[in-house]
Amino acid sequence: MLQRTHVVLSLALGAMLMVSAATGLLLSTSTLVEHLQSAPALGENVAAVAERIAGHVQGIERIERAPSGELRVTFSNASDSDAVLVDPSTGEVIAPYRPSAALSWIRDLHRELLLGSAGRWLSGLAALALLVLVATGAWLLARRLGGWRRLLLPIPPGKGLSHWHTVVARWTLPALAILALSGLYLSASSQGLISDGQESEPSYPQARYSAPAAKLGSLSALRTLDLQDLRELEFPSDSQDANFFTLRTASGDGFVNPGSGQWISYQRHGFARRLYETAYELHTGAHSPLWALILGGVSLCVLFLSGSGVFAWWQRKHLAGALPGNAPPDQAEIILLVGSQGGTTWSYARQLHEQLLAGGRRVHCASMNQLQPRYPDAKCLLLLTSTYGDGQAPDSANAFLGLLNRSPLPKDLQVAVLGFGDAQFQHFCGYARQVEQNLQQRGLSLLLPLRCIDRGSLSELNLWARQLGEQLGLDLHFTHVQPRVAMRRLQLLSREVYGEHSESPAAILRFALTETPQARGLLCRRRRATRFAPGDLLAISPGIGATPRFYSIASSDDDDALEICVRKQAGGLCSSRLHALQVGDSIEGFIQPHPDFRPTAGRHPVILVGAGTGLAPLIGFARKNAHRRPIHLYWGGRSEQSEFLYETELSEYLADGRLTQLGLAFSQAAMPMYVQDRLRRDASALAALLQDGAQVLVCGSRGMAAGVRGVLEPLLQQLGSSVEKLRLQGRYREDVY
Amino acid sequence: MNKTAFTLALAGAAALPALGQAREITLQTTLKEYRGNEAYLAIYVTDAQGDYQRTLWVSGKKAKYYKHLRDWAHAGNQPAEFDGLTGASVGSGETLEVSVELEDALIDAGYEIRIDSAVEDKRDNRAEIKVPLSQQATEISGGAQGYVDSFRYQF
Repeated sequence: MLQRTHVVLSLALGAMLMVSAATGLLLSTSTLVEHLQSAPALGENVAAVAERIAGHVQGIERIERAPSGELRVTFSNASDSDAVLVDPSTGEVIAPYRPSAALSWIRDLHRELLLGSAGRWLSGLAALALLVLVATGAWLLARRLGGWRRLLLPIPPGKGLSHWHTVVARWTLPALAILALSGLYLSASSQGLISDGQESEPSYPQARYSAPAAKLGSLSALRTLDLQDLRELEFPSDSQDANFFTLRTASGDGFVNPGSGQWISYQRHGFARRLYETAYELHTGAHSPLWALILGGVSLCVLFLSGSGVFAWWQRKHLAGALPGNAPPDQAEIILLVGSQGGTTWSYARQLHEQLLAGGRRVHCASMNQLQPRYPDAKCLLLLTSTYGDGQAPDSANAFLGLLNRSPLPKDLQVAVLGFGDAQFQHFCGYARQVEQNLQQRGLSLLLPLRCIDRGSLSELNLWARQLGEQLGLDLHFTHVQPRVAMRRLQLLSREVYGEHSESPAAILRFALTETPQARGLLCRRRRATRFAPGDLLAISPGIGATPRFYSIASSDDDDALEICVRKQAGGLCSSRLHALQVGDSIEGFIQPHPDFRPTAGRHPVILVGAGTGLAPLIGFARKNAHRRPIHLYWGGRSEQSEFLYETELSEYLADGRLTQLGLAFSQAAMPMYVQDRLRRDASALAALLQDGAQVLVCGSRGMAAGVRGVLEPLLQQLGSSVEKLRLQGRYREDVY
Repeated sequence: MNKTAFTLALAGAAALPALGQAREITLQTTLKEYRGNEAYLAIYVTDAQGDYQRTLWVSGKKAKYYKHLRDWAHAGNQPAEFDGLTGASVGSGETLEVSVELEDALIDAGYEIRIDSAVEDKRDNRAEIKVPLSQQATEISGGAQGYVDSFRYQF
C-alpha cells in the first residue's frame, strides 16, 4: 500500500516535481550568486550607511536591504529617477538595479507554473506530494533497511539505480521534509489559507511633528539599528511636509520622527510573521549562502530521485511485464521471486505464474530485490534465478541476500530454487547455489533440491516442473522461450582450413556482420552497433529450438570481420554447418559478451594457454596488445605441418613485440608433446612470472584445462598460493568446452 | 500580451458616507506594456496639499502588498477605507474600467485624483498620476517612470 502510494504519487506528480526541482536548483544557484556578490557589512549602523548613500544619491525615496545583503536604493530627483545598487561601505552607486526577467520567469514557473494564482494550488500540491513521498519513502526505507534505527547506520554496499535511490534518499530526507513543509506553508499563505502576519501594518502617524528635521546620521532609531537587521527605510515623501520615515526591520516595523529620531508606533513582528519568515528562509536560503548551497544540492537530488525512481519503476514494469492476477505479498500462498539479468528468466517465471494462477493458487510474483519483510500467508517460496559473471547475483537480485538478513522468513516456509546458466562456464548457477545454501542455513526446508538448467534446456526444466507439480498437486510444464537477443546475419568472408584431409579439420572463419531487421516496432530497430572483443562468444544455433553452441571470438568490432576458429566434430551439427559454408554464404547467430575472459587492465605479464581451436581468443588478445605488455603464449596443436593455426601471424607478433614468448607443443610430432608438457619444461620461468603477478588465461578442452591446473598448482603452492587463490583474485580464468 | 479591457461595474457600491449629493464617476486606467507581474493600483482623492481624502478603487487583492502603494498606504490602508472598492490586479497592457460613487462636494473644489502603483520586483510609484478633479471629462498620460499609459475619468 505504502509502496503503491509512493509510486503512484511520484508518477502522477513526477513531472511537476521535476519542474519544481529544476527551477528550485536555478533559483538557489542565483541566491547563492547574489550572496557571493554582495560583501558583508559588519557592525555598520543604518544611520551611517544612509548618510553615506545620501552623499552620493540625490532624492532618495527608499533604501531596501535584500536578505543577501544587497542594498537597493530608489531615488527620484529633478534630473533622474531610478533604482540602483549601492555599496554600503562607500555609499557609491555600483550599478542600476535590474532584476533579471529570466529569473522572475523561473520564479513564476516555480511558484505557479506560469498559471497565475491557479498555479499556486498546483505548486502547493507538488509540495504536498513531496511531503507524502518523504513520509512513505522514509517508511519504505526503514522497512528496507530493517528498522527505523537503521536509518542512521551505514547502508550495505550495492549496485544499480535503486541502490543509489536509497542512498541519496536517506541523506536528503530531512532536507526534503523541510523543503516540502516550508513550500506547503508558503503556498498556503500565498493562497490566504494561513495568515503570514503581514496584513496589518502599523498606521502611519496622523500627528505632525514640529521640530525641524535633524541630520540623517544623527537619528537615534537609525543609529541603533544594525545594517544586518534593516529591511527597508522609506524616506519622508515630502521633507517640507513633516512626514515620517517608515522603517522596517528584522524584528518589527514602525515610523521614525525625522526631527527627534525616535520610533513612533513601533510594532514587533508577531508569531505568524516570524513563522512566515522562517519558512521563507528555509525554503529559499535567502539568508544563508550555505543553506542556499544545500538547497541547490537537494534540488539536484530531487531530480535524481524522481528520475531514478521512475526509471526503476519502468524497469520493473518492463521486466515483469504485466502480471495479471498477481496477488499482493501479504495474501499470497506461493511467493515466486525472480533474479534475472536480461529477462529470459522472467519469461519462465511468467509461465509458471500463469499456470499456478490457473490452478487456483494465490501467487505473488516479483523480482528478488523486492523481497518483502513479511509474507504472512505464504506456504512456499520459489526462486528462479540466473547467475551473473563469476557467480554473482543478476541485476534484479543483487540486493536479495542483504534483504534476506533483515527478513524473518517463517521457518515452515518451503523453498525451491531453480538456477539458470550455461554449464560451459566455471560458475554454472553459482548464485543459485549460494541462495539455496543461504536459505538452508536459515533452517528453511527444501520443497525440491536445487536444479540447474543448462542453456534453457527444456527437458531439464520440465523435469523440475513435473516434480514441483507433484508437490503442489498441479500439472505444470514449460514451453521454450526464445532468448531475447539480437540475431545477426553473418556472411562468410573467408575460410582457412587446416588438416583438410583429416577426420576433424579446423577452420578459421571470418564473417561480415549485418543486422537482421526485426519487425518489432521502431524502438527495437534502432539498436546500437554490436560491440565485441576477443574472448566474447558467438552463439550459433544448430536448429530451431535447440540450444546454441558457443565459439570464442578472435577479433573485435573495430576489425573488419568477426573471426572464429572451429573444429569439425564428428556428428556435430553446428560445426558441420559452419564447415560447409562457402564464401558468400550466410548463417544466423548472436553475440554473447564474456567480459570475465580477457586480460585485466595493467602491465602485469599475461600467460595464455590454449590447445587446438582454443587459440582463437588468445591470438585475439595478442593482436590487441598495442601497449606491448609481456604476453607468454603456450599453444598445443596436432601437427606442425598440417595444422599450425595462425602460423604467420604468430611469428609476426613475436617479431613486433606483441608476443614476448611462444611455447609450442605438437601431439603428432616425432616427439609428441602436449601443452601441459611444454609448460612443465618452462616451470621455473613460469614461477617467476607468477611471482611477478602474472595473470593466466586458459582456453581449450576440459581435459587440457585440468592438465594445466595440474602443472601450475604445485608451482603456485611453492609460492604460497594456489590456483583457487589466483581465481579469487581474478588472475586465473578459464574458457573451456 | 493582448489588450484586454475588463470592466467591473459596481452596483451601488459606494460605501462612502452620503454627505449630500453623489454621482457616478467612471475611471479608465490603461497600463503600458511592461515585463513583469500584474500591477497593484490605488486610485484615491487628495486635497491640494496631497492630504488623503477618499479611496476610489484598489486593484489587487492581497493586503500584504498594499504597503507598496506608498502614499496611499500612509493614510488609506485601513480596511474600512476601501471596503467594497477592490478588484483584481491589472496586467501589462490591460485596461481597468470602474464606476464608483463620488460626492459632489469633492468636484471642482481643488481636490485631485492620484494613483499609486507597484509591481513585484519593480519600482513602487508614489502618485504617478495627479489630475485635478473637475466636472469635465479629463484624460492624462502617465509619466516615464510609471506603469500607467493613460488615465481618464468622466461622469
